[in-house]
Amino acid sequence: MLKIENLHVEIDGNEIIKGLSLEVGEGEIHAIMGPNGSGKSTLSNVLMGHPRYEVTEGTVTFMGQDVFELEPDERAKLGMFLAFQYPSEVPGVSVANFLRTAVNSVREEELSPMEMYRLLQEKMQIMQMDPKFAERYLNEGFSGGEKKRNEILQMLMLQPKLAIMDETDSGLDIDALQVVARGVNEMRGPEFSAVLITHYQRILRYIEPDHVHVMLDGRIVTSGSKELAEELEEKGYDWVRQEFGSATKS
Amino acid sequence: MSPNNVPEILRSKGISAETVEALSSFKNEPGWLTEKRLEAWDFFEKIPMPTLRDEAWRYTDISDVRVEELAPYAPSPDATSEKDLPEAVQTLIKEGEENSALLVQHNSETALVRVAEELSRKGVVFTDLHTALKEHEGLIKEKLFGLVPMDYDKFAALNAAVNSGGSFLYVPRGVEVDVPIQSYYWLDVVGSIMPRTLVVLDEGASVTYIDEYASAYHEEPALSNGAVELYVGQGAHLRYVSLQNWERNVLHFNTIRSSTGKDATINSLVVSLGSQLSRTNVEAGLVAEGSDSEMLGMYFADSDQLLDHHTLQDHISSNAHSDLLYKGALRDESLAVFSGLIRVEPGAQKTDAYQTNRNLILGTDEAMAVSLPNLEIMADDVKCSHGSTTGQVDDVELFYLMSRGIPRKEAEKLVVFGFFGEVTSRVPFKGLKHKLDRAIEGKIGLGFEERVA
Repeated sequence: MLKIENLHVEIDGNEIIKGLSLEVGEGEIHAIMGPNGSGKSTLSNVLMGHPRYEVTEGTVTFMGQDVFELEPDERAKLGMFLAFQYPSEVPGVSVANFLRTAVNSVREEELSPMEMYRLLQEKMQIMQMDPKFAERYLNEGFSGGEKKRNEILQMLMLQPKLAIMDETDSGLDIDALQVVARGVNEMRGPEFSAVLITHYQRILRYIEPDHVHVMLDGRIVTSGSKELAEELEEKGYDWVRQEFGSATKS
Repeated sequence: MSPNNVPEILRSKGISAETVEALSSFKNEPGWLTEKRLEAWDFFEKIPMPTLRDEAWRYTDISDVRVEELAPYAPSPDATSEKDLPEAVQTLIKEGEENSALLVQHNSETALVRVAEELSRKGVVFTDLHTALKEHEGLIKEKLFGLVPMDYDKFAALNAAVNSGGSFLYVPRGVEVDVPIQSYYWLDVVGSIMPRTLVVLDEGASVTYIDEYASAYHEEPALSNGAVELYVGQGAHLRYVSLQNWERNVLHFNTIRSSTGKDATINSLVVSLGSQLSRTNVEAGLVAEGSDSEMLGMYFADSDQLLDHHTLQDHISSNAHSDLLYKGALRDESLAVFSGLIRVEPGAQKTDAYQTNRNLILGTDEAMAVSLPNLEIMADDVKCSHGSTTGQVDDVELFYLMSRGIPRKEAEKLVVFGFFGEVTSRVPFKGLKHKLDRAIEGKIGLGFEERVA
């Protein structure tokens, strides 16, 4: 479904991703763990088409298509979704208006206002959000937790095939984390894949991954099953650096 | 008024004292008004045309404006009903706000006035200034030129000398008019129009009044030079909208000044979309305690348009409140100027005044927004703040919206609508809001997409 091969990415001339390869199959949940500065967020942003990153080498295909040939909106229509770590504030545009535009764009058909209203109510209930939330301007004045919930709400509304979640767990208290996890588990099924990018193992207690990868200095240095996450939690990232740090110097 | 009756001198290029006299006599005006007009003309001739060296005109070059090459008066065909009006005007009316009274000025002449019977019964007067003079001379003599005097500036002097058509609205004490009253100014010849609006609200009256300017395109330049005087009596409430959407051959000058009595409220909205060059002065005089002025502004400049707004929140009395928000979008090689002043006169304690100007530049490095917020405070117990920002559409914000499947152009539209939403959401008129939305959509139009990409 998603295939990353030998990906190299730069920002302002600095190489951040240095030859990363990863394959995500249908229905699989992958966790990518790594310390700060390992290139996790760059990876998620570049997969979606962030304008400030430059891909210098490598390929990424999604559903057999070269994603670098596609605008971000075309990637979304194909079924990709990114839950942002720092979503933008868009003053004057209500959550409801934004979601209506997004859902109609992705589906390429207009839902009736009533259908849209019902869909939104249903998904907001899952995320334990006040209906009044839909009238607020997109991310403007939202707390950290509200922003994260809003990202997952968007995922539920758009029903992507692949969700990349960029540190969605960071800064959330345990209640919010459970709500976010419920949203993701709601999507879980043979046709939904996810890449959870995280610093901590905590979220993996609620969303169980099929594969865990450890990222260091722009590469995936080791991969394993969910037990790897536990080992990492126990031994810390220093252990990763000692074990794999030298291997990354080339 | 058929064109044949209009004296030749009014339809010829150039203005002189003879033209001014001919106009006044053509309109059968009382002697005092002829005198005023002549005095204004004299003043106009005495003072020089503003140049870039004048502080108030530092960014607005009007050296191309040749008043002497324009005829001061352009006749229009008679209309007895809306069906006789030019089709474009009928469309404007259809797409406009629902109204309880309507005035159409076609070129320099009044083409149509319609007032709901109920309003007339309540004593509301709405007609052009010439007609109003016949029955309400006393009131007009007292108020006319009171807020926009001939010596306000060069253009005010010109308007005072040769204004024609225009509108007069009077709402008596305690009368509340629920449905807006609307004037359309339609220009379809090369020449100039000099409309003048005089609105007088007695104690406790309330009304919404809209001036809308539109035209048919011509190659040759045309001029619209207006003056608007808004008197809001004690406890009265006026909503005033000025919507400027001229074709690109028109140069637009307008001065809108209001005075609010004790506990009176004015909400003004000034929209500038059309014209080649547009200069609008909007001044609110808070002359009595408890008065309140909300000043909203919206402009969208494209190609090589120049849209210039000068505002004044003049706190003369204590315990008054004013809140200004002007938002503008710019694209292509356009220039927008905002110069705003909050002035708190000595003794105007407990003043509460805010001023915000925001500009959004769309996908170009060629457009320029000049924003000059100013405070002049001569009292010590006041709350005042001002702010100004100018920025580009953020590409990360666009990326965020696009990542949800929204195509670039739609995403841009959302951002721009969101930007103006802060103003339009404060406008309680469906028809007008719809009109503004469509105008913004038209302005975003083609070309923007390629520039951003």
